[in-house]
Amino acid sequence: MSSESEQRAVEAIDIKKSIDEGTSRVNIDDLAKKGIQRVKVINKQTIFRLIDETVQRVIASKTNLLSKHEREEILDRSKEELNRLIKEQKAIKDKADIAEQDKNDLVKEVMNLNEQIRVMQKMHMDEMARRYEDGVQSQQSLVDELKNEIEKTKRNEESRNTELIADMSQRFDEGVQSQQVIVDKIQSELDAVKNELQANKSKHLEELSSRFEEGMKSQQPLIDELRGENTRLKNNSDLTQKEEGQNEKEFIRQRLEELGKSDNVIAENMEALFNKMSENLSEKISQIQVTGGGGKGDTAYTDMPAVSLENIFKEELESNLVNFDVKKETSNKKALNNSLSRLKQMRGIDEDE
Amino acid sequence: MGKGLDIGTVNLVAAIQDGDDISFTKERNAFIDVQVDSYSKNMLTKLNVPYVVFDNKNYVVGEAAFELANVLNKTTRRPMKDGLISPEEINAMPIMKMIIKNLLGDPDEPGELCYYSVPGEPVDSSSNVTYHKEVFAGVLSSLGYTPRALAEGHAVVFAELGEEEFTGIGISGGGGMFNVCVSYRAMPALTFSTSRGGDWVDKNVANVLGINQTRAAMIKEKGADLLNPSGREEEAIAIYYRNLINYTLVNIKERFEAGDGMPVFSDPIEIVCAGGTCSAKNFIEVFKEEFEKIDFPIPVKNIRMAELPLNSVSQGGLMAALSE
Repeated sequence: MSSESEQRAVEAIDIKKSIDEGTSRVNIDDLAKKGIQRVKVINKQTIFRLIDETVQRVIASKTNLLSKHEREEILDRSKEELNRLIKEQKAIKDKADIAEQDKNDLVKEVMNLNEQIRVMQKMHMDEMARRYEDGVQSQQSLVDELKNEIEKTKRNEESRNTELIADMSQRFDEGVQSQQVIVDKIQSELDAVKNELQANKSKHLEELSSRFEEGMKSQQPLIDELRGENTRLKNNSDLTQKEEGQNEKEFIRQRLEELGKSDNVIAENMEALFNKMSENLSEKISQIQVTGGGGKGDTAYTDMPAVSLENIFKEELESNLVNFDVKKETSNKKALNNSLSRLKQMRGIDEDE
Repeated sequence: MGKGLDIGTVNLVAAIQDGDDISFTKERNAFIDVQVDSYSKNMLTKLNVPYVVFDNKNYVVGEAAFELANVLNKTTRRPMKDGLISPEEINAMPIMKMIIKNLLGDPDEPGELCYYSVPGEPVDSSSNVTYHKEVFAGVLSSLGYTPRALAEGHAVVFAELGEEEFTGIGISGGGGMFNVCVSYRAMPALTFSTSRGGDWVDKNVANVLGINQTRAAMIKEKGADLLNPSGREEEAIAIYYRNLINYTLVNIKERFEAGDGMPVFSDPIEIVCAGGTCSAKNFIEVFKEEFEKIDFPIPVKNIRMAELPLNSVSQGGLMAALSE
């Protein structure tokens, strides 16, 4: 047979199919359950190659072109070759097994190291927690001490505030009392003036009344004379009598009005005088300022006298301000000249002005 | 002739023409009570500490009062609060008059013009500027000047927006208030103020840090960086500054949107900021950041700081006086 026909004979055998039919697929987990932890694996291409080489040798051994001795020699060499190949294959497999073993060992080592890290981390955390607890415990006394200090300061502050408030309250009361004395004094002065005015008014009214009485008495002869005249004329006529009576009444009324007018003038003058005095006293009272109290803000505050606008404009105060030169900066006006000219122009002012 | 006077809650600044120059004199608007006898008065003078005697009591005034308060960890007394005369310190006006007199000097001629700054009507409080305006008119009259009131924001426009034909928005950030003026060709179309300023920042910083307000002001004035604050104190200052700027911008926007008769600007306008509170480091950068966050109703081409932020208002007053 030629090598071409031999090749065809080999190809006629469907090796792949034969392997598929002659083998079965088994799950690795199932093998593990059966206690098989390790399996040898041979690659399909290797199987094909081995079969091909063997067949080639068988075909060659079955030809008559070679002598017996040659065939035996070939057979021996083929056996040796086969053994060598098997050995080679085995060596490769062993290497693969060792590599697999190494890989598994490495995986185990990694897992072991991971476990060591985890344990160390846990130990570290436990140590930190323990040290934290120790730290907290060691600082607890200091914290307690600080808390006590704060409480103590708070109490002192409250006590100080209470004292301060009491002091301010006392000062305020004293201020109010001292002012009350002044107010009372002025009030009593005011009452005295009022009483005096009232007394003066009564006295004057009495005087006016007596003057009225005196006036009436002084006019009595005239009244009597008029009455006599009236009587004398009574008989003349009813009309004349009536007119005379009216004249008498009119005269008396006029006299009384005159006396009343002068009385009103005096009363008005007295009232004006009284009002003026009251106003002066009110003004004096309003100008009294309470000087007690806590002041404003944290400034050493002193009350200032009430100042009228007129005083602001008039008053010259003592000061050393004139002894100092005020801070002065200068700027060149030339830079503003254009703006100034423009502004003058807009305001309708002649530049020369 | 004429002079300009910036009556601020924190500082008083006078602008006076001095040949070809303008000289600015400045004093802190504060005082503190001190117990001194005649010997101590001489010592104060030798130590360059200005004082005023008022009703038999002694008051250290100006910057020295501020420094003394810091040393003693006390708070200065302030004649003004929220941009107006403080109701708590109305009786301190004679002291303030002395400081003003020292800054302005005597009038160069009888009845010399003096333009003094007044706040715009506040939009967020019921305060009224009439009394404030009249009192300072009286003070200046008593010093021999003819007083003219000028809105603070308008003064900034006069001082800074000449190149823009006096058209734009002038903002003066002071201790007590932020004053705003929208101007069209030197005419104030809208002036108003908000009752938050540097003091508002100090007060809130003092609250959160647990320190007194004068100390908070000192930390702020040392030069806090608003964009890159370092430390807890500067961070607190930066936070409140940003809030203050946003509050002011929102108010300007709302007033623009609500106002009748507002000018229509054909070209984008310029916004210029002045005043001590605006002088903080990177103020303009933060202002621009906050500006970008709101939809501002008019086109703006530039936002910038005044050339002399602390002197701008008094300079505007001087320009108003010289232009008459």
